[in-house]
Amino acid sequence: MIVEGHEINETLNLQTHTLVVGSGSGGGVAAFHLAEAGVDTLVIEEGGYHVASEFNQREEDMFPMLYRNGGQQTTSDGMVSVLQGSCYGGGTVINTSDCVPIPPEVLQHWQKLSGTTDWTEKSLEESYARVGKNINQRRVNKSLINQNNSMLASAAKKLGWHSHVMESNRKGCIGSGYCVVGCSYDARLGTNLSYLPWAIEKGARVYTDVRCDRIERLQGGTYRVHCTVVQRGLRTPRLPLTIDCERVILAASSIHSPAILARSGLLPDLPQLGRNLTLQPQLGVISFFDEDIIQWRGAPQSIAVDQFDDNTAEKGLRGFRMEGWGGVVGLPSVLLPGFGKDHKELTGRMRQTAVTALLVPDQPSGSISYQWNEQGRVIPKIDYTMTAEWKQRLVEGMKRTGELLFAAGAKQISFTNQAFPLLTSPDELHKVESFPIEPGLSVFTSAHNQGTCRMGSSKENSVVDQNLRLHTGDNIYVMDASVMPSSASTHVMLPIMVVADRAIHRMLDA
Amino acid sequence: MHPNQLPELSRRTFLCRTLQVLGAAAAMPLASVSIASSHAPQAESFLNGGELATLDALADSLIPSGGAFGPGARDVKLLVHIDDYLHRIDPRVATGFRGALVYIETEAPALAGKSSPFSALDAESRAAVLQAMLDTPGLSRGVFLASKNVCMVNFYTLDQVWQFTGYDGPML
Repeated sequence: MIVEGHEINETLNLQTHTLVVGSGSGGGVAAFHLAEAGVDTLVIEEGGYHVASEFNQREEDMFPMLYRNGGQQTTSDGMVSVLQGSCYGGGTVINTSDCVPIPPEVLQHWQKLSGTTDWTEKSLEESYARVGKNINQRRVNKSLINQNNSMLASAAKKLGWHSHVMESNRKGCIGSGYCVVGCSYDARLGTNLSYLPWAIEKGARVYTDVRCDRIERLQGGTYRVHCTVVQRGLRTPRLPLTIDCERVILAASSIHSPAILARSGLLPDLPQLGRNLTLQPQLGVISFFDEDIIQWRGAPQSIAVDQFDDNTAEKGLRGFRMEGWGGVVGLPSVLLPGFGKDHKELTGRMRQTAVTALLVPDQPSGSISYQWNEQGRVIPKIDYTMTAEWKQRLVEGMKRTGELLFAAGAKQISFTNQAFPLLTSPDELHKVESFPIEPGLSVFTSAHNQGTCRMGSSKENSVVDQNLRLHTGDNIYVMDASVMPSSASTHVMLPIMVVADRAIHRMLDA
Repeated sequence: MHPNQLPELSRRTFLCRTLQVLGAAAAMPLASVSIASSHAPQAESFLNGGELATLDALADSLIPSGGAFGPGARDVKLLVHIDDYLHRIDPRVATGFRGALVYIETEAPALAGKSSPFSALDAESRAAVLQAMLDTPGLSRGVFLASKNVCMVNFYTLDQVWQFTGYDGPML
């Protein structure tokens, strides 16, 4: 059963055994396995319920419909655009479908970082197998790999660098290219098309357009969760709604799960709450070719140039990667530097334009604090510092990306900085040494925000234990990207699903 | 009272408050926050006459007619699209954009040594003001980028522009 917010016209008090807050990678997986095990399960999602026929392949309509704050959420200094899906299915509805597991070195790193000794490759095998099967994880079909990506593989080969075809959760993809604005063809097995409908089939109830505000402890070890039914679109409050339950699973993202816990008064008991944020800022690199590239068709991010991966147990996810991004045209027009006729000269060559994402994993170096407006809506303040080491790796990554694109035949390269000139030959790549990383000049994108409710061995180093239960002893769990002690992977949908799958099965086995 | 007519101190307070909410738009790759794909045009303008004049001058400077392809902001009536867009977005951000226009009209020209309001400047002077905004760290640069984002996204997502950029549009 799905109940949409507009169908609710009176104050409600609902009862369930387990409340799942959020319907994305973590919430979807948790809801299904709970319902499958016969647990009375209710899912709430602040975003709206939308189906493929509503996805019109227009970014100006789909970002507001499917993204948190219409895609306008940023760090407090405005340097990083923090993107999050916010709809039935969460981020699994708008990501580029990539499935990249947690590298073994990262698991080893977590053991050193926060004592997650139970988290080994072996202990995750069953979850990987289960999730992979459920979402149709497999290598991207070669027929879907567009020029924007295949040229990266060809150039890497020319340079003697390693690259590979990525794995994704597509099924029946026709290569329209509009992954990031919702698939109009139901050709990606996000939770909206897999775990959530399966959970509903097993008896779970899903309420959309319902915001979780705070959790109140009741006597007898139960909880009353205070929520607000919001108006779809601007999300103004319509009605209060409460849910009484015995267990809460928060899967509301690295930004909002800690907000709910903070507003519930748990911050004093959980000193690591809202800390250890990683954003994995990505830099868009736009290059111009003589021939057509047509970056908006085919499967985006289907090739990864992984030559410079440098993962270690000491440092976790390191190095940098290049992948061919694409699917929309408004965004590149904004990122290109300048204005006036010079800018039009660049946008007039959109068909010959390649868009490459330079992914530079980071270490936890951010934190979140919160305010709530008069309507009860949380206003997160995302403070994030780019470390000197990260900046150094970014510059090295820019040089290598420049090499790669010139080897592919690029005539001009923009590192999407408002004050940095387009480069026209490999001889100019040394200029990136003086690349200005300043608010208002560079815009980085974070699609993989993690941390803030880190898992670990004690509340001194983390928020949840290795079973993802709060260190307070409450029957409250967190199952989303916020539990990652550091960046789990270059793409986090699969890691989140696996983490949730493992935690739920441990919970049910117990 | 129109912000331009406020006493100096009040105007500064207005600017500070409204520009704060534009912080997001300044960094955001997609400034567009429309709610649905088919919109009935609004009967009344969101922006008043003075603000529309500033926006017209701004949009024309950012996306002039001619150059690599013919149409510019004025040719596609970008003003109307942006005004319609302002009706539909988070009121805080819309108010922030209004603040940005006030800033561009009244404060920014001084950055390039100009004493006239932005909308009264010739094209060359307006370009100099925008460049000066970009070159000045902090608020000016943030306002420039936020305003550029709003204009560019609303322009390049218009169907009638796609034939000039080579984008073949949605497959649906």
